[in-house]
Amino acid sequence: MPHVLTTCPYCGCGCGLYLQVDGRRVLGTAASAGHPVARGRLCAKGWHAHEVSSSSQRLRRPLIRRGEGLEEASWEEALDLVASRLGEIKTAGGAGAIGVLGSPRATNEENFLLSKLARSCFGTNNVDFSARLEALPGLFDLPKYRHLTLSAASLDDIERADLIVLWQADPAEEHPAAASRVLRAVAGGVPLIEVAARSGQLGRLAALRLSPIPGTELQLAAGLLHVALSTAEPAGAEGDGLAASVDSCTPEHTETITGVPTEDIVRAGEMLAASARPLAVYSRGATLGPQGPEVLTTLAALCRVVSNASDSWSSLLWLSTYCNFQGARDMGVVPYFLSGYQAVSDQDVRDKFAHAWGASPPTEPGLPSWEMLGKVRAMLVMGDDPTTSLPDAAAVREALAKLEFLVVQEAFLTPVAQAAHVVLPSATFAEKDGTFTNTERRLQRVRKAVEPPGEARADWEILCEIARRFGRPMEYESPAQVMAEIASLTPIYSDMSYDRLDEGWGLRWSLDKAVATDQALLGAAAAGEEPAAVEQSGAPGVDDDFPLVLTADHALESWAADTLVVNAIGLRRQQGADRPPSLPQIAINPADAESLDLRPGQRARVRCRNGGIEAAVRITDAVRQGVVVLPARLPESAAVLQSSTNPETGVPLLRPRAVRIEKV
Amino acid sequence: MGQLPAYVIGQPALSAWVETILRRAEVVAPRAAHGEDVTYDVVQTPEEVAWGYAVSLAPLKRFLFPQVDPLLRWSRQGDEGLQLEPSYDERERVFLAVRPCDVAGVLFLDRVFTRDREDIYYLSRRRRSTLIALTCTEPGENCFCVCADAGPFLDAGYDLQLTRLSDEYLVEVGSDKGAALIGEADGLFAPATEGAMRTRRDLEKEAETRFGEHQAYFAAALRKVTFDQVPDELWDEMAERCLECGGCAFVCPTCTCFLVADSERGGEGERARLWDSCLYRTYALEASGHNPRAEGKHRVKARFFHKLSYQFAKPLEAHGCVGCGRCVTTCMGSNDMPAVTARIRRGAM
Amino acid sequence: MENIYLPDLAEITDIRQETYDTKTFRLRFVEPARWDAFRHRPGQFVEISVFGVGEAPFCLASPRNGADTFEITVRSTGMVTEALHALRAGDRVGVRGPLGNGFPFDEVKGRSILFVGGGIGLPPLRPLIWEMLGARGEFAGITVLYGARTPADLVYKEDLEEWSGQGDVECMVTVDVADESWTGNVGVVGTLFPKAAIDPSSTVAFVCGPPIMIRFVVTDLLGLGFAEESIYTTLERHMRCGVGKCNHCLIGDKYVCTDGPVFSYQQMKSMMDPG
Repeated sequence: MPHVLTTCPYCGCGCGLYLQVDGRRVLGTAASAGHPVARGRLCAKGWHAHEVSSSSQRLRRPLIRRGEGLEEASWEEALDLVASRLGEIKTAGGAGAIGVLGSPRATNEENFLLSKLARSCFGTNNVDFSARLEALPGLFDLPKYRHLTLSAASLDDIERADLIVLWQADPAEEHPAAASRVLRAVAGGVPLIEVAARSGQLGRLAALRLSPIPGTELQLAAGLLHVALSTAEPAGAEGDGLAASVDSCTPEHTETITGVPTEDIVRAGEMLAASARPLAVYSRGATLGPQGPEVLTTLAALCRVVSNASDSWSSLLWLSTYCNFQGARDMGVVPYFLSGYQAVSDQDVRDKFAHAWGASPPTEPGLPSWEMLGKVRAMLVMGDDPTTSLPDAAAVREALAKLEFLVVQEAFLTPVAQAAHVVLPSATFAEKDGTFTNTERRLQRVRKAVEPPGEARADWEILCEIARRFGRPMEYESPAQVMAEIASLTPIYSDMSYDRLDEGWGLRWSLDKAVATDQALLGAAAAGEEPAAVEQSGAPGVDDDFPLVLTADHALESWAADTLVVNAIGLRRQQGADRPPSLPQIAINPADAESLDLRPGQRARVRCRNGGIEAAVRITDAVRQGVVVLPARLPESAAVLQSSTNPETGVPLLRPRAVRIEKV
Repeated sequence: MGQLPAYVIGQPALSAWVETILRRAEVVAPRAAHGEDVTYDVVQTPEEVAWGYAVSLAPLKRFLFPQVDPLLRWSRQGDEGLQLEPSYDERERVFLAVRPCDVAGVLFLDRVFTRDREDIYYLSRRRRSTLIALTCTEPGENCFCVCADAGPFLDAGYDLQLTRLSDEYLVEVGSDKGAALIGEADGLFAPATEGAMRTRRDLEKEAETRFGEHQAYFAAALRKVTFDQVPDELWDEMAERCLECGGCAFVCPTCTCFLVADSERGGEGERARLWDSCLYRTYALEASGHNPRAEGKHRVKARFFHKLSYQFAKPLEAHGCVGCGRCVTTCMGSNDMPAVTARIRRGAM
Repeated sequence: MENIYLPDLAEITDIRQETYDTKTFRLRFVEPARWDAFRHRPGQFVEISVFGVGEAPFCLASPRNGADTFEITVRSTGMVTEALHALRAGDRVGVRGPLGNGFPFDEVKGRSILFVGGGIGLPPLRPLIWEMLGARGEFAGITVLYGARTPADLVYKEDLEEWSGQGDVECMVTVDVADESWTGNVGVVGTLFPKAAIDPSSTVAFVCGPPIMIRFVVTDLLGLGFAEESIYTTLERHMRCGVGKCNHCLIGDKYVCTDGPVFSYQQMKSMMDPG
């Protein structure tokens, strides 16, 4: 079948595309005109989707660590070793000694089977994927935050909105299919407001660019809400409570804290108040900020206040980073949920799964990924790479090295695979069947176009082999059968089947369905809680020694370290990943550069109170005076960005920091 | 047309003819993909040919100049050390029911790949290809071939050109290769009557009228681009809307930029050429780190200079556009050819 | 049909360290018959393959001197050049070429010749200098002016000595920044102009070096009265195929790999490329 319709493996937009097969090789990619997300378009990554399959760097045989190095071995030997070592450690240390990481790039079927393996074979709830911290995790037991990353809005709503707010998001970099719609909306006259520490490409078309001092985004949102409330008129008690909570957040006061000019705050608030269908577009740039949950709650309240559209309009559009980020959560790769956000603490849920799986999932929630490392003795990692998803890469690497046993399923020799005791070669999206769920909750087929190279196998097949060796066989003829089991156990996926998915262009699971299992999942949006105490900003204090605020930007160079970019022969040049700069680039405003006598490309030292790094200077007016920006995804960034933990959720994050810049 | 012979063929003879072609070559024709998508693809039976399609998702160049085109392979095993082996594609192919714009695209590629030096990889495929065009009577949503002088009917360049008359197809012979294809299935064809030829001419006139409503301002754009009279700010505004997806280069029947890259593993290696886009920021990036086209406006300007200027149109005998409209579908911003030529003519967005 | 992308194999016979980051490689074709067809002219270049890493263009840095080898001078700046620098004598590389146009030679007989080289810009000029010296009587004056950033960056130190020693050639060297042992000229290469006896009306200039150096030198030469068509340079661009098909080296409508790399200043002025 020379043109195979499948789903792009890169970002959470989930464009459909055709892989062109010639003989036994994937030789090209074509865009689908009829696809509801792609609409005949693809971004650079999508256009190169065929490359990873035939990369010369693919892992083809299992590897076992002998001495210092990894050596090729047979599947039998590798799988037997995995079963025996995990078995030993489970016996010695209990089920809690094992941790399992799934992947926002593996299929739903694979993530589901991973959860099943962990819960029914290993007997642990230590099941997570490291990028999940981008979705305000740990908060699923806090209903007020749940709806912020399960938005009802769709990508097409971008073209239905009458006002678009890009909130700490850079879709031109991370979600081009969304950016394309923003461009169309703007071309049609829809105003755009950009809120960002670093203005992105779309910012050049914005009617307003607001650049709050990093860490003060919450105060800006409160200030906008103050203006909107004084202009629009929300109904009833909600309005009184809200107005009271932002009473002191006058535009002038907000300017003092955020650095955003009063007239811009007023204008933005008025534009919002005048809109009927505002759409706030955000992604991990907002959720990983120091006050992320509070910022987004306030933004949600703001949109609710101003939106005049019918109840069917949703003004929040969450863009998830990876192709199956949504699906990995849906499938229960979460320490306290099974698939469909069904809590492990619920007896009825455990009984239901016990009946289907032959063993009851444990009662106690497991450890999230950022706590697993350092607490468990053995790990099974399916395609995930915590060294790129968790903030402190060096700490992650140290923790991985200390594991007694680490088995990694991967298509390439990533940093986490290099640390493993056993590496099992896996198939890429082009070589297996399955489904991905995009950021709009749209399930779509992933279709096998070619065989995996060498002896590599699909992750789901590998998991079944491991289960068999644990005495709990998981026998499936195909991923379609796995989906049938998913549908039988997961109310939000109960309508899903490959037959139905093959008919059109995929199916979105409905938020309404969640009502049957968890009323709160819809988000107690109507009963919105008041924004948190807004005086306390997340901005660092600056002084004469450290006069600048350094912040991490998640969109900058985000794809350059990505394994599916680095190993794609043409894409890596296009993304600049074939010649990574020897120094991280620090973006600085021209006025600040001049006063520090810095030239473009110059080496500089970025110094904070207890450390520093070297960087190359990049002068741009995309950042405001007083602020400098580093790419968050570079390992070096962690040394100067302040790693801390959100007190309410326990999630690690990177805080803005006071720094100074010196010439070297 | 003119002195060359013409025939007619109806059903079921048409299917029988396709069967004979299927026996002697790989047949590439418009084929239904998912939903309403249709794309040129290898067909195994006459029923798979989607005769009533508007435009194929991908142009024909995929088959003559693939997105990944292995040039050389080598092996370091063995006593003689490194051995280089070029790999040529020598499949016989018949391209059936190809839109005239796509035939014009192939003719353009012919000139690109033979200009100054001959490209053996392209030519080894091209010389084994037969082009059977299918004329258009209804424009697709984004078509503007009339402006690009590439349709809806062709005067020459095809091996055979089919036009749908009421219940049969008129078949015009354009070359010896085309004549040979008819000759092999002689009994299925009847000579075209004067009436059939008249109908064909009428259909062409009607089509030109219908297509003529679809505009692209090539003449004005050609002049301004040739003499560097487009304001810099306009290129900048267009670059602001370019998301550097590369789509315009990849779907265009006349774009041919490529990268060459090596890969090797365990002593076995390959050098392949890969489609590239002049709009990528790294397109002109040199090993030293210097980038002469670092700004988006430089790249957008360079692209349309290559596509539209007289400096290129002269040696290539046409400007780089056949009016297929694929860039209108695929551009993530709004920098498709009709939009850009309109802006150039206006001098503003 | 010839395959314009298919390299021939050549063996590295000698490697000479020019500076801390620059080496000169001497290459001999594995098939002797290939050498017979390799009629290169100064100004042309070759595409060198390190198989598995990639291919890159290098100007031919040696004159036709009767030997069956040719030389390239390589500075280590990227993937391919780094890989080349890791090779040893006896290793094999791929060669395609000679490619590109060459410097004018017959057309400038009878004139005086001024060579101005900067840093890694001397290699393309070297074969032309030697070939013109080999036909010394055909040219009036010959002047070689060469500048590098520091003494450690000077290439072809032996050649420079020979040229300086020849009575019928004026050869001057300068560095931007001297070290303790340097006793020669200090300053950019343009500072040598007043010291050289140059008659702009009868002289043709060949200028090679980094883009910024070319800009300054050409400005100086025009200021001295050189005609635009009497100034030649070689241009560099990101190249892949080297044979005018992949389009990466286009400047306006000119392919550096086939219309160039040698261009007169008059031609350069009319090239329409923003960068």
